[in-house]
Amino acid sequence: MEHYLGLFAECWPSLLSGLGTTIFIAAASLFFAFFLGIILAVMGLSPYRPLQAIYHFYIYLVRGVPVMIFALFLFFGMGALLHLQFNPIFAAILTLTVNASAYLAEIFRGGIQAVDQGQVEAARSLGLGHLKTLQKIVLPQAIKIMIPPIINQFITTLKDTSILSVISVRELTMNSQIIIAKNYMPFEVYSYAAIMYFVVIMALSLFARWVERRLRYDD
Amino acid sequence: MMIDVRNLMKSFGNTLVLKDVSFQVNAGEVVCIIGPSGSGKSTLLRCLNRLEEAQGGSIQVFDTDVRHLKEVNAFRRRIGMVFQMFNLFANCTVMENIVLAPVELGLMTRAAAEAKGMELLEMVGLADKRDVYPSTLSGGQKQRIAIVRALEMNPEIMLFDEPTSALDPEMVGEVLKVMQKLAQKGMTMVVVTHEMGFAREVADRVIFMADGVIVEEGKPQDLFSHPQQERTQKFLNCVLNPI
Repeated sequence: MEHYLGLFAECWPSLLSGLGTTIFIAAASLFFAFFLGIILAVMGLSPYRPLQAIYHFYIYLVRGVPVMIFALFLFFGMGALLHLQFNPIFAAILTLTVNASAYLAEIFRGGIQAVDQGQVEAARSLGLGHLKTLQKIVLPQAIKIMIPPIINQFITTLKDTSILSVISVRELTMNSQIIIAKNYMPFEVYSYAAIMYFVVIMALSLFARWVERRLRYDD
Repeated sequence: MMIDVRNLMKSFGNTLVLKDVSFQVNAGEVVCIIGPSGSGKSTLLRCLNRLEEAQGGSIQVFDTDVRHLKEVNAFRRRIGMVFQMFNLFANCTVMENIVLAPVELGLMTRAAAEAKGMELLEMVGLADKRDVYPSTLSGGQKQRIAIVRALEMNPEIMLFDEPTSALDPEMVGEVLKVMQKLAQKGMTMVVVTHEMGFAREVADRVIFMADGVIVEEGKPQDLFSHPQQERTQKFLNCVLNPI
């Protein structure tokens, strides 16, 4: 036990800096993905066919390609083709932004479509316009539906950062591997990493439950 | 004349649901539309406030050409609509449901809207429910609130789309009573309904529809007691003597 804790203290600075990078990449990606997701969802919900087609193509493409392959293709493949060396952090954020934006767009679209169409008709029959109906009736209910899956996506994206070790991003998983290459103690070091991921994600989950409870109004 | 529909045609895709429908409603009149499911009754009603777009014929409501409206929202304010599934806003309390439209549209101050809302709630016997959410109400209560929400806008016409079809039997009466009160006050009403008792008691005129056409119309006592068309006789026989 003493050995376990002692080693942890030794690895802590490097692991903590890895965790910092992990959280930074996840937060930056989710920030961009959020806005991209909104734009995509608007395209998916629009009655205009070509926009819907672009939307569906994007969703299927992202869903159909593993994150690791996308990262490798972008960082090494595109890098080779264009004869340039991507910044790993940039490539990482781009990868996860593209990935999360597709899933968030589906969450946004699904949440809006889940709102009872009858209420929309009732609002329109009272003379409320499209935007007012969206603002006062649809969005408040859609957001309530969306919150749990959005936070789920946050957690997924946070975990997906570990895949980015393959493009040498110095996040938590990569730093663990670097330490293990030096001290040959995979049991200890990977358990530290696991615990650190777990603590952050647990905190996020508890936050999600708190938000969900606060948004409850009628049931 | 409040409503004047002539040769109305409406199709969904290749299915023609209204074939050459014509009828009129005068101010203060209560017209009930009856008929089997799928006969186009609800679609006809929804064409009157442009929730559905017709493909042929003309629809005049308060001398407005409904099929070529420029300002659909301003037009819809003047027509109240009550739906089968109530369609109360789930994210709003009862009072918010009632005052949302007039306040958002700038027709009334919030205080005036709430005062009027309270009066209407008292009329339907639900004043104590002003601050609860719709999910805590029974079907009959929801529908009475939905009627209040429509009345709050001071509509000149009220449309009812099977207002009691989704209710438990013991709650039908409380909703019909409110509608009867409204009829007695002289409201112009078009009611799609399966409540033959209501049609007989309250309607000035009953329209029987089947397969997208008006088969027969007349005063309730005539239509119910001496239906002229075989299709009407068959329908009434089924509805009035189910066993």
